[in-house]
Amino acid sequence: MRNETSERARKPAAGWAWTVGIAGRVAVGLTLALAAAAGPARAEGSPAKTFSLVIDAGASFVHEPGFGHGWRYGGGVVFKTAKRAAVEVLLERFEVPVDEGSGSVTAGGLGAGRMEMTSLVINHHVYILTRGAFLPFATVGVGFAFFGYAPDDPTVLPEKGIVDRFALQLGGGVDLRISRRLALTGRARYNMAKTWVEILPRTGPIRDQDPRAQDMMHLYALEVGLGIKVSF
Amino acid sequence: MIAFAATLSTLALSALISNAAAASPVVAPSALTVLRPPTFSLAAFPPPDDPPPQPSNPAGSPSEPVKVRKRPFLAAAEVAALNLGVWAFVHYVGDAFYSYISMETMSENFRDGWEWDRSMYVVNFYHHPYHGYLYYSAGRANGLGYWGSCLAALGGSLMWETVMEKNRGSYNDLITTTCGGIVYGEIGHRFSGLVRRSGARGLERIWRETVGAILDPVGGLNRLLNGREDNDPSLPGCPDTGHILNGELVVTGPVVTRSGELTGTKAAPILGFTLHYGDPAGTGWAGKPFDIFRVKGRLRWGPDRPHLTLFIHGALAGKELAAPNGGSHFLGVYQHYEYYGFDTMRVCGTSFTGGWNARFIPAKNVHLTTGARLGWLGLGSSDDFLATDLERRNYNLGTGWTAAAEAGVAIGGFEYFSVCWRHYGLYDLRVTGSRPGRESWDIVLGQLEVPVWKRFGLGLTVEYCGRSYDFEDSGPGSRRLFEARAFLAWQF
Repeated sequence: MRNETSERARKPAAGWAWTVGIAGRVAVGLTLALAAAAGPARAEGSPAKTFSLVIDAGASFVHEPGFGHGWRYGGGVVFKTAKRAAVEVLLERFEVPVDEGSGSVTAGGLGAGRMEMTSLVINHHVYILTRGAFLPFATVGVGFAFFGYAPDDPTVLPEKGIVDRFALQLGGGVDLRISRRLALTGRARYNMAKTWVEILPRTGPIRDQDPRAQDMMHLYALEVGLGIKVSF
Repeated sequence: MIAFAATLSTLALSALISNAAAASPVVAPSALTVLRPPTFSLAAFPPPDDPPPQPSNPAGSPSEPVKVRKRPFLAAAEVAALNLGVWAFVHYVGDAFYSYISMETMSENFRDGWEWDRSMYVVNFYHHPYHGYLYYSAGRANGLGYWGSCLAALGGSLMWETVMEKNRGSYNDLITTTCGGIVYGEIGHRFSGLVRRSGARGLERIWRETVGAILDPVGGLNRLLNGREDNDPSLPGCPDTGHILNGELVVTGPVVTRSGELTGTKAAPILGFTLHYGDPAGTGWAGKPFDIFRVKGRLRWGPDRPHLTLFIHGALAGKELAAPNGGSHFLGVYQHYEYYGFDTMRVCGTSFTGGWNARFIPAKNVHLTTGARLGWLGLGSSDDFLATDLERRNYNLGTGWTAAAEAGVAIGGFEYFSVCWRHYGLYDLRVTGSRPGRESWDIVLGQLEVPVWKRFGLGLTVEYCGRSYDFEDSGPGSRRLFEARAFLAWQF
């Protein structure tokens, strides 16, 4: 049973590697082209815009054994609060495959399927450089992680779910300014949700469940993305 | 305990520093005409016939108070960041069970309301006020005054109680975090203003900023991040800071005698201090909360574990009245946070009192200081010695009244004798973990001291603690402790 599952997970992985390869080449090419176009912006100094919209897409890699990787996408608003600081509110989502038996021993493990995570995140960016076309920044943030789990075979009982969590995020990125209003943005964040598998339906408030009695999963996900940022 | 030790040591250090840095005394411009340098503890000021010191403000503009820019939104953001930072630490490093929060736990907490918390005694009555200290510090560090920073402490505590723990919000945590945090935060802010010095460079700047950051953590962080030292509310010249500090450091050695209820080792090492900020008798009172306050603390080792005691009270409002021969009277409203701990008896609480302090000068170089206060003990707590809980999660929560009286005699700038009495009348609440009933506490501390070399003295302390109780489930009774100790002290 386990071998079949591994075989099943291996096939999409080959396709995934091809996809990542193509996407990576496109991203590098786009970055170089935009870097050349960013020449005029470089001379304009620090952007004075305080409000921006950002959308980005990329990939997520979950480190917990049995969980794979998948596409992610998101969008949000950025508010510049100081010369070197900005606050970002971001809504994002990713979906990854789940192997049979992964997740929790005490809850009997998850069946093969897919896990999705939707996050509402508040990030604080600290810009390392404030002038020029390349504006690297460090990110620390917190957010609500809402998990969804869909087994390949929905008739399997008992029904299981993954408990939603509040989680810390650490990372960084770089804004590549193309003009005063437009920038290309690349990010990498580590989303650190500690949670567990529960058997549904829940019989009492989640507050009454003792986390120390659970088989804890560290759904730590590396999220990388490339997007655009439009300032107003 | 580590935090207390750090606080105690830094307070003591700040006292030493402010005393040692006499070349640059930090004095509020408004008080320059009336304040005198410190010579002893309870009687805070020398006789009026002594010549006043010449002010020298290192900031260079003694007559122009620093204009403080208020940044309430940044204060709010820093309070929220503090909560998130503490949450991240207890969640990822401490793996605390209460830190597993989510949107669901938050909505459940809003739906289900508040409760009385049963965390360990030291957590609820020392750690929580320290947390509130950070909130308050965020307010002060961003230019808010006492009342604005009180809102910062209240807001930070509300945020933590409602959304940052999976447990329901706790009434007692909210009260102790806010009220205790305000008291700790304001004295930390005031002491940091005594230590920091505008224009300091090199090693001097490093140690001043380091000690200042320990006393005023958020202010220190802001200064580090911004590199800003002008228009900073923590700097000398700010109308809220700059009163003279004096007090006493005490190291206790052998126990002379003790009552039978105090078991264990015969040695009871104690490091204690008394710090006065401003004149208790009101000289130089500028009308701002905590222009006058006193901190009296001690850390006692053993026999089972370290025990701390901290008595803090500061004037919120008041009026100074002149007295003959250079004496002074002060009628005031005070805010207290008090925490008394012995190996077998503990009581603490946050309270508000009205009181009178006076300094009489019956003869040249002889000062008699007296004080009395009476008020409301908003939320108090006492150990539940009838319970057998090793984690110390059993303690009584109550409300009631508090009273205190004190007197001291100083001759030639050296305090020879002091005595103080504190009373707590507790009506214990009928809540989870608390034993309903009534309690009456009396704590008496008497001290006799003689100078042996310069400002150093040897003395004898007598301490009495009596507790009478009448619990609904166990009937009336009483406990009494008595101890006499020899000590070495340095008055400054």
